[in-house]
Amino acid sequence: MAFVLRRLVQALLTVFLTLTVVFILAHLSGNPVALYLPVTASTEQVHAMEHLLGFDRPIYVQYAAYLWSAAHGDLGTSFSQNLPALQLVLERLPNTLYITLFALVMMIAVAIPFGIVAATRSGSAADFLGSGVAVFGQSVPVFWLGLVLVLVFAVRLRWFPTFGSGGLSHIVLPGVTLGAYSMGVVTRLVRSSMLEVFQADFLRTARAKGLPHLRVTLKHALPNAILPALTMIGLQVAYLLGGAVVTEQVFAYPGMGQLALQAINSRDFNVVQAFVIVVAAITVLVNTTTDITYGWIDPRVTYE
Amino acid sequence: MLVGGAIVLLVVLTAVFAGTLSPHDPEAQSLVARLLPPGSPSYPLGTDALGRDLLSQILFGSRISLDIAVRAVVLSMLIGTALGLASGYYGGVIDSILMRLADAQLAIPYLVLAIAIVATFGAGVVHLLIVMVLGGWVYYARVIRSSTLAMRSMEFVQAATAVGASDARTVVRHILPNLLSSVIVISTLQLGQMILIAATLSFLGLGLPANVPSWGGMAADGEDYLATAWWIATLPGMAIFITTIGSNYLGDGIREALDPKLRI
Amino acid sequence: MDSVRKTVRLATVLVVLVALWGVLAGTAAFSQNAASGTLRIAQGIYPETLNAGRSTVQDTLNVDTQINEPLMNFNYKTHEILPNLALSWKLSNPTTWVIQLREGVTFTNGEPFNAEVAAWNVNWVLDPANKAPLTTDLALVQSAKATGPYTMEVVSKQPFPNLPLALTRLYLLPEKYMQTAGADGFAKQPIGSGPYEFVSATNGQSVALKANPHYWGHAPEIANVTFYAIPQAAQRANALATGEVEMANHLTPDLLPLLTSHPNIAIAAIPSLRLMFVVLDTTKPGPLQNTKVRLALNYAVDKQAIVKDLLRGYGRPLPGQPLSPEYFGFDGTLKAFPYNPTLAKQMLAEAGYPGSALHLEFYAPQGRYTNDAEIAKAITGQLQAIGVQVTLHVFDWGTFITQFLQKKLGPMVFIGYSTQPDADFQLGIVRCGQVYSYYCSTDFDALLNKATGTVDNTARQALYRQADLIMHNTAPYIFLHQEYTIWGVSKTVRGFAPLPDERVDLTGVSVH
Repeated sequence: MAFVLRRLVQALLTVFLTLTVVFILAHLSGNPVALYLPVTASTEQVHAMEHLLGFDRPIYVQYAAYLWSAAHGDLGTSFSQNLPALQLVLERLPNTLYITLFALVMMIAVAIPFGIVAATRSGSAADFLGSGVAVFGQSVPVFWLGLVLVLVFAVRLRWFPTFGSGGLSHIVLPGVTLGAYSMGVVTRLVRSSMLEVFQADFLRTARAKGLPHLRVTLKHALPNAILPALTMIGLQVAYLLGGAVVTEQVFAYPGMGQLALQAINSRDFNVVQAFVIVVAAITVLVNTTTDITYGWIDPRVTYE
Repeated sequence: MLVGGAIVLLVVLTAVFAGTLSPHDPEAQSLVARLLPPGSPSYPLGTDALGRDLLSQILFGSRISLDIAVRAVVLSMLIGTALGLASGYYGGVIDSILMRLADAQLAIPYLVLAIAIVATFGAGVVHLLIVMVLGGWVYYARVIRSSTLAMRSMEFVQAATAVGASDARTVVRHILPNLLSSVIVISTLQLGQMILIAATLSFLGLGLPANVPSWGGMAADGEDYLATAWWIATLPGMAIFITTIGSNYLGDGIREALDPKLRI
Repeated sequence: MDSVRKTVRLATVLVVLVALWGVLAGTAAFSQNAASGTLRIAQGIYPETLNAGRSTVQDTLNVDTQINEPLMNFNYKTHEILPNLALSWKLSNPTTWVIQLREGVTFTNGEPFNAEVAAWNVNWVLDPANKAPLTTDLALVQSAKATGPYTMEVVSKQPFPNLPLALTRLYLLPEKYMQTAGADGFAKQPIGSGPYEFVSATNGQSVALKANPHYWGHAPEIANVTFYAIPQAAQRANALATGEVEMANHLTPDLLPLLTSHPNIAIAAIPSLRLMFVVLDTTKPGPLQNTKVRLALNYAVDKQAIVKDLLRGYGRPLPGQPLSPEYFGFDGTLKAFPYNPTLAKQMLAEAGYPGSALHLEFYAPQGRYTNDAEIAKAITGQLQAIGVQVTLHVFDWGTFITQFLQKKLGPMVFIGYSTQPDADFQLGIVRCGQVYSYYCSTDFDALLNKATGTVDNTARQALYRQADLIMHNTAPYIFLHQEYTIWGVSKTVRGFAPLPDERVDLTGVSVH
C-alpha cells in the first residue's frame, strides 16, 4: 500500500514537472496576440490586447497565476475558441482514445500470435513473416504510411472513408497507421522473450514431464513472456497519444492531437498545456497501473 | 545481421560518394522539367515539384540524414550512459531525480515537446539535435541504470571497492566494459529510429534548413503529390525505410550475438 | 328563386374550387420553392468560433456568415457596396453616416431586427472587452445610435469615407439573445437572420446547418449544408473524388489534373484578393536598405515562370505594386518588373555587391499559401542563379508568423496579404509602426492619411496612385503574384461562383 501511495506521489510530481517545462517553453515562444488581430492592426491595439490577456506580466507571475487556477481545476480559456481549454481537450479525448485503443488491440493481436509462432516454430516461414511485419512497422515513416493507406484503401478501393470520425470504419486506417510502430516494437519484444523463456529450466522440466507442447506454450511460456511486454505496452501509450498528433492531421481526424497541433500553430497556450496535462496524466496513470499490476502478477518482483 | 550490415554499409558508401554518383546538381531547378516520372531521359528516378533530379537528391540526402542520426545517437549515448551510470552507481537522491526526469520525459508527448522547442528556439541542425537527444537519452539511462544497479552488488565490483579503487576507476575499469554490448545494441536500433524522427519533424515543418536535401524533408515535400506524382514522397520514403530496416536487422544481429537478454 | 339558388350554389362551388386551386397551387408553389438536397463542403480548418463577430478567418466566416449576415455586401465586379440589412447610407455631415435599415427582418428566435439592434452591434464591436477583430477597421468610429426605428447614425472621430466598406464585415448578432445566452452560449448555439440556421457541431470536424424557411431574401435552395474541416489539400481532393463531399476549397494547382479527369467534378477558380510578396526589411541596417538592391531583386525573380509552371497558370504576376485590379486605388499604368537577370546582376554590382558578395537570409512558411515552400525554393534558386547567396528557412505557420510579428525574421520573408479590396487596407499594412510593417516612409504615410480622410473617390484614387508609385519605386517588397482561389465542385451542384475574398455565397446555389 505504501508502495502504491509513493508511486502516486511520484506520478503527480511527474505531471507537475511536465507542465512546468511546457509552460515555460510555450511562453518563451512569444505571445499569440497579433495572430488574433487583423493584418491592419496597429502596435497600440496589440499592446491593448496583450494587457487584456495578461501577457504583459512577467512570466513567473503568469506561471503562479496559472498554477493557482489550475489547483482550482481551471486550466484557462482558449484564446481562439474562447471556451475552457480543458473542456475542449476532453471533448476530443474519446476520439483519440478510440484510435489508441484500436492501435493497442492490433498491437496485441499481432504480437502474441507471432510470439507463439516464433517460439514454437522458430525459423519457419510464419516466424519470418512475423519478423518482417514487425520490422516494417518499426521502419516505415508514419505520415507516409497514412497517406498511402488513404490512397489505396479509401480512394482506390473505397473500403473506408478518407477523413473524419463517425464509426468503426473511420477508426481503422488511422488506428493501423498509429499502431504500426508500437506493433513492431512489441512484436519483437514478445518474440525475443518467448525464445528466452523457452530455454528456461522450468520449461525444460515441464516438457520433460511430457506435458503437451501447446499447453506448455500457453500456460507456462506465454505468461512469463508477456510480463516484460506489459511494461513496454504501458510505455507505448505515451508514444501513441503523442503520435496521434501526426496521424490525426493526416486523416483529418478530430481528436485531441489535431486540436493540439492547431493550438501550437496558433500559440493557443492554454489548450497546449491542457493537452499536455491530459496526456501526461493518462500516461502516468497507465504506467503506474502496469507497475502495480506487474508486482501483483509476478510476486517475485519486490520494490525497495 | 549480415544483410543489415550490408545495407548500412551501402548507405554509408552512398553518403560518402554522393558527389561522384549523382548525375545532376541536387539543387539545380528546372521549372519546365518538373514532376517528370521515373524513367524519364536523364532523370532515372524522375524529378520533384521544382524539377530537381530525385536520384541526386536522394544520394545527397543520405548525407545529412545519416549525419544527423549518427550525431543524435552518439550524443544520446554519451549523455544517457553517463546519467545511467551515476544513477545506478550512486543511487539515492541522484537516482530519484534522474528517474523522475526520465519519467517526465516519457510522459510528455514527444512531438509536442519537439514542436515547442523548435517553436521557441527556431529550426536548425542544433535544435533538431537537442530535440532528438532529449528523446534518445532515456533509453540508455534506463538500461544502464538497471545493469549498474545489478552489477554494483556483484562480487567483482564489491572486491574492487574493497581494495580501495576510486569510484571513477571502478566504473571505468569494471562496470563500463560489461555495458558495452548493451550500448552497441541500443545504438544500432536507435539509428533507424532517429532517421524516422528527423523525417517526421520535417513532415511537421520543423526540420532542417530547406535548401539542404534530407530524406524526411523530401518525403514531406512530396506529400501533396502522392496521388499525382507518387515518386516524390515514395522514393525517399523507401530510402528511409531501407536504411531503418538495415540498422534494425544489424542491431538485432548484434544483440543476439552479444547480449540476447537485453531488452529496450 | 331557383335560378338565384342555382347561382348561389354555382358561386359556392366556384369559390370552393378557387379556394382549393389556390391551396393546391400554393402547395405546389411551396414545394417548388422549398429547399432540398444536401451540400457537404470541405474547407481547410474547423471554425475556431461560431460567432462571426469574433473571427477574421475566411473559412470560419464561410460557416458563420450563413447564420449571421452582414449589414452590407460588396460586389467585386462593379466595386459597389450593395444593400443587405442596410438599405441605404449617406453622410449627413463629414463625420456622421446615416444608415437606413431593412424593415420586417427577424432573427430565427423571433427577435426583431431594428436600429437599436444594429447600433448595439456596432458598439459591441467597439468595446475592446468583446475582442472583436473588426474593431481595428472601425478604429475611427466614435459610436453608433438609433435615431429612428430603422435609422442608425454612426459618428466617427474624423471623416471616414470607408465606413460602408468596413461595415460589409459587420455581422449582425441578436442583441437580446447575446445578453441572455452570453458570448459562450451564443458560440455554442448561434442564432442569426441569415439564409441558414445552425443545427449542430462536432468540434474539430463539422458544422451542420439547415435552410431558414423564414429568410427575408432569396430563399435558400438547399435543405442541409454541412461544412467539414479537412486540413490537407490532397485529402480534400480525395474526399471530393470519392463523393464524400460536393465542394472543396483551397485546392492546389498540382491536384487539378486528378480532378479534371473525374467525370463528376468541375473546377471553379478566380483571382483572389491574396497578394504574395517577399517582404524586404528596410528598417534594419543591411544591404536591403539600398533601394537599388531591392529593385535588382525584383528583376531577378521570374514571376512569369512561377505562375506558369509552378502554379499551372493559377496566378497573376503583380503589376509592380502591392495591389491587384480588384483593389480600389490600383494603378493600371504600372507594369510588373520584367525578369532580367543580367540587369539585376549589373544593378547589384553597381550597388556594391558584385559576384556573390550579397548574402541574405530568407524565411517562408509551409502549408499556409498555395505551394508556399516550393515558390520560396524557386525564388531562392533564381536569386542564387545571379550570384546572391540565399539561405532559406521554412517554418510551420505558427512559428513563422509569431517570429515574423516579433520582427525576428528577415531580411527577406515570403508572405501573402488579403485585406478588404481597398488600398486603404492593403497599403496600410506597411505604414510606419504597423504590426506587419517592415517599412517606414513619412511621405507614403502622409499620402495614406490624406486619402483615408478624402470623401471624393476620384481624389482618393489619385492619392493612392501616388502611393502606388512610391511602392513601385522604392520596392519594399519583391512583388510576386496574386493567388487564385480554387474550388473543386461536384456537377450535382448548380449556381456556385467563387469570389475573390474566398467567401462562400450560397445564394442561388442548389443541389440536384
